[in-house]
Amino acid sequence: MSILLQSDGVSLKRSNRLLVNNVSVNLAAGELVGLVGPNGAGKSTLLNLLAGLVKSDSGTVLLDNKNINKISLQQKSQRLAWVAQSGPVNWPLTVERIIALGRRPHLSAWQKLSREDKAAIEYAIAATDCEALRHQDATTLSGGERTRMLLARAIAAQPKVLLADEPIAALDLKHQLQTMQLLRKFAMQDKACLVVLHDLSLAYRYCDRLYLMNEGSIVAEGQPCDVLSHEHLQSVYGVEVVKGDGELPYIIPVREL
Amino acid sequence: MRLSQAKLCALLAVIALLLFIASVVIGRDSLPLFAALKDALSGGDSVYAVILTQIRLPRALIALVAGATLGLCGAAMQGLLRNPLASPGLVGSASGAAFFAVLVLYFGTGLVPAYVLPVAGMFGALLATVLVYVLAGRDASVTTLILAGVAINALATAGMSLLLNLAPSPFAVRELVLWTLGDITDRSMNDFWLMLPTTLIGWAMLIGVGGKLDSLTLGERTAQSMGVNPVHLRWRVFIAVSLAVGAAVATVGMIGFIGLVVPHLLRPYVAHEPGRLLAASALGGACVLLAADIGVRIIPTDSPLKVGVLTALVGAPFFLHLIVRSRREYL
Repeated sequence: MSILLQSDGVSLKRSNRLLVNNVSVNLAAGELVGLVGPNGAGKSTLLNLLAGLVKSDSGTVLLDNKNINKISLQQKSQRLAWVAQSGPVNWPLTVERIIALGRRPHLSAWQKLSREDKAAIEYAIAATDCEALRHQDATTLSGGERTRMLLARAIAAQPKVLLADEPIAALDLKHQLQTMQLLRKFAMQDKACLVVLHDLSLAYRYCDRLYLMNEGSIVAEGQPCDVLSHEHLQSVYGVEVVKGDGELPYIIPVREL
Repeated sequence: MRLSQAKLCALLAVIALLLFIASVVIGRDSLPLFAALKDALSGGDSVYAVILTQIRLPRALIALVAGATLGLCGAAMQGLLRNPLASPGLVGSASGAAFFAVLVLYFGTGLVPAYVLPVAGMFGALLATVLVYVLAGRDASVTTLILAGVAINALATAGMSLLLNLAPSPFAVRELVLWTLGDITDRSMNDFWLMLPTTLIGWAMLIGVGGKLDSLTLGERTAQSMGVNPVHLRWRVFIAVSLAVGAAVATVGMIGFIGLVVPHLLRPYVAHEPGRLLAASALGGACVLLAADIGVRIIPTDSPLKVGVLTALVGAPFFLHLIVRSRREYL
């Protein structure tokens, strides 16, 4: 399996706090990888570093085995898409136009949308169930609808690597399942997806691999059943859980320790 | 109402052209356009030809170009700052230009050739931009940039107040104040040729930023992940606006509200897309300044009405109306 994105000992310090501490992760083609951990563990910061949006203090990030800071912004944006946790929408554009912005990395300044561009946009709209929202003013969407729209924007870009920050946190149950299936399907097309999740049951069920992060470091990685062990959950989250490892795995927090 | 981008721009261009012709024809003495044109083209020097080439034509050309600059730069600044209340004056270059122009009026009226005034104005605009750069630093955030612009504005305004305060005679004060009001009378073709190069450089720098401003709708981080370098974009727009607005202010003085109201007015017709707004807003700005400059000629007043006063008088209540209407929409 070819590695599409990897970090090698990246660290980031801000105002004397080590936000990300010597983290090495990798994403191979065909993989859906989950990044889990408590609030403030550094998951979003790590995602920013992996997307090349923030420069690390030490260590390197490689996209297609090339240093991500040495690739042109346009080439990078064609291969890698990043979805913010709660991105702003500053003008009342229609949802369709926002999703179409996903094609910008592939277009020069004056180029019009080609038939392939339009097909990619249509696929993204259908895959994220945004058809009904299509002509709505994007600034009037609910939190969950906006998350779906922003994910559609990223899907429309047809990247090789997708980094999504809590894409299902604001979604209803149906759209949570739909989005996880979409990410699975995305990864199966020989692409890679790293997704930050708080729902450990869905992470367990859908992800091929998990990274468990705490206080800026990766404390466990591997198969969901190994990463989400009682010991790890107790030491990292400080809670006791009830857990089922069967066909439909579940993790329910019981009480604080 | 939905119009395609091409249709909207064509419509605005036709209106601008009609207003341009009207601006040439309308005046204290109305001009027989064809006779004047024929005479001017054949190199004659009849009164009509002189009025056409030395009075009306420069006036209409300057109104066209300065108006387009204000509309374009207003749209660019609002797109960059993602704020409908942003105006081209925020970068500090307009007040820098005004301060240096007033400085020339204060010390050198009558002593220096006429072209010194606009040149000093453009120098002031550039100086203000350099100062903003030094104050804010290369990787400045948008907030830092605005604050630096506000600081430069305050400094230039203080400088102008000082000059007014120290002015030797009431006549000098009157001249200084009247200049800052914004006015396109008594301009020559030389003024037009002087403002043109920096204006065109500014415009050219804004070609192709439309798509980047569209991406910026989703915030700087997301735009960056979509291939936009926010720092480059910021400086590109900033310098372009400084050059073009500096040239406009140096030539016609402070003309407010066009850069604020025109983009706001046209935004619904371009589906709120900041990129498509640029061209439409440039044409719209040209229309508004041409119309206002015709307005000051046909509105009967005892002493001549300054075009900057008219745009502010019409613009401010109109802007209030827009705010009240948008508030109602969001409630």
